[in-house]
Amino acid sequence: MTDDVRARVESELARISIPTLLVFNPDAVIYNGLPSTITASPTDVMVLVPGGYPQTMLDLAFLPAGSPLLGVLKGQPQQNLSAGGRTWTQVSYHPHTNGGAPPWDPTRHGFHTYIDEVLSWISVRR
Amino acid sequence: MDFRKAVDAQPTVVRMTGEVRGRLESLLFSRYPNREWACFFLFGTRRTREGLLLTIIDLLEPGEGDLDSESDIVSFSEPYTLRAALRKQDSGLSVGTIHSHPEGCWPKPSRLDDDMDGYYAEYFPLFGSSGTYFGLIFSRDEDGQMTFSGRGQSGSVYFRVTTLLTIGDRELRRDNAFSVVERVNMADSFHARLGELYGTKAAQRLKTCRVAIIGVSGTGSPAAHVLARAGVKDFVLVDPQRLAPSNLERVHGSSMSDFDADPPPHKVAVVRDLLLSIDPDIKVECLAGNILQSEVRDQLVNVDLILCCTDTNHSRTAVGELAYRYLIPTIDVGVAFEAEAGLVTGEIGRITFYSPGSPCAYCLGAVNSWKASVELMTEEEKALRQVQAADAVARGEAPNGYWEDFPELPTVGHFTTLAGSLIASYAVGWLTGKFTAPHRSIEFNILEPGFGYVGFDPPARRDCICQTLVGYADEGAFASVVSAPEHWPPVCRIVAAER
Repeated sequence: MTDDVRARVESELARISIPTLLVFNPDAVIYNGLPSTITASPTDVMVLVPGGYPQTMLDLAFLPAGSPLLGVLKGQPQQNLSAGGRTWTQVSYHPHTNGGAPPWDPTRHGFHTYIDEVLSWISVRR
Repeated sequence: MDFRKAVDAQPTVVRMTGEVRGRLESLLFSRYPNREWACFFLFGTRRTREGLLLTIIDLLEPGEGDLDSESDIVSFSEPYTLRAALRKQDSGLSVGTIHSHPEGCWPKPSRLDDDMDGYYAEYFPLFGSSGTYFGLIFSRDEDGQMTFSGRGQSGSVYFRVTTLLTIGDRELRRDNAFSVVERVNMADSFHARLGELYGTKAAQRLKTCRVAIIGVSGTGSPAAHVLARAGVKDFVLVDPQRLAPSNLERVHGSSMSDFDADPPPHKVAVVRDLLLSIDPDIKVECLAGNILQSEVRDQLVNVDLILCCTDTNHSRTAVGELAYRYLIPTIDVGVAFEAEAGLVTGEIGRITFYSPGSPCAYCLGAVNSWKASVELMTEEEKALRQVQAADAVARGEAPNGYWEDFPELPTVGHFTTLAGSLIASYAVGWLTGKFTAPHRSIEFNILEPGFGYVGFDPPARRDCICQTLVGYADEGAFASVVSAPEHWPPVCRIVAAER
């Protein structure tokens, strides 16, 4: 991750009130303890920092491997990935490509707005 | 800090808008001919491999009592100084001083200036995160000719200002510091016609400017070709690709013999050789790389104008950002063809001017988010997404969350040459101040009546960062809108006869 990208991501995370964690190799943001109306306990959600970010749009989301939300939420569960010392399962969730969110615009969108999409996503059954 | 002891000071390029320069000159010379005046100023920076870029964001103009109006020389009051320091602290930017010397006096720092700069270089870093301080001096002679000097310090590194670039809506100016002597042969017969039409000063201006061309294929190579013949003597050429056989139809300077070599030459080398065949005195910096890469951006710090000829979403985003954050103006060009029932129905060109304060590519709606993302993906990621799209279709789902194809017609040399020549023409007008385009964005279709000409001047979105981060340079990194993906190969500098 370049210095510019890191500065940008950290600036976006500073605008979010919920706890977040920026991890590296792979570069990703983990939103911690997000409330879902589907399960009693909150869930963590990981989103990768894509190459070329922020022009490259944020896309997809990862749930902890074995999460009860897998297969319940919209989006096909896919491959696993290790990040931040944990194993995550990718879910084919695409808010900015005809998924309900407006077209990606890096002058407006970022991890500070993606959180809103994720919060909506984890509270709706497929 | 003792500026008198500074040796090996690194070169610094200063950029400001024409609007700020107008206010600055009115202020500094308001007590001429005999009395000095001054202000603090807010600036951004970028450290480059060769020195520093300083972007003047705004003047912190003095109010009543902020400067000693009884004195002929400059004396800043404590409240004014503290106000500037607090502004520095709040903004995360840097603060410096600008003052004038009396008419006809060289802008060479005096002993008093040494003391002032030494004091402020230690004082201002106490406020906020930036440790950089600069002091600039301007003066005019009896004919109104302006000269300047400047120096600065960041930690233990000293800087000297070499160049001032002023970005106006109608003219792009380059001034060298009074101590910098540039040897350019101004007298020649090759540009007599251009001199007759635009005047000798304009012809000479072209010889002192530095133009970057991003993408030197169909539109970039003819643009370079035209500008070299117009007298431009300093180019930065940027393109990551080597010449391919299909390029022969459109890349000016390419020939069949280029393919005798294996691998064939880089496009930047082909165009460089064309420029040198026109004028062997032309300086060309050749970079096999991309505008998003840091090494390339460092080279753009000292250019008068960028011509963006790649017609990609990420380049368009990048030049928009370079315009507002780094005060580097650009003319962007793209071409497209349309066809129906086996006939060509449209040969369309679009030209956009980016400068500080103008709408960015996102304000203009000139970026396709999906295409922009694809441009920056690895080949593996593209392949994976295409497989996932096929899987989605098999599941009965829409594929476009994973992949979306955008078929495009190729472009051809006769039209790319036209578009490249056209932006070279606008470049000549902007650089010399002799003419400007009638609109900020122009679209035309040569197959329509009246060439299908449409000009528009859309406003920027009020809340967009292109309006709020003007001149922030690297200090605006927290809102950067594009970055080079790590899988791209590093920039390769093509030197001497290397191809």
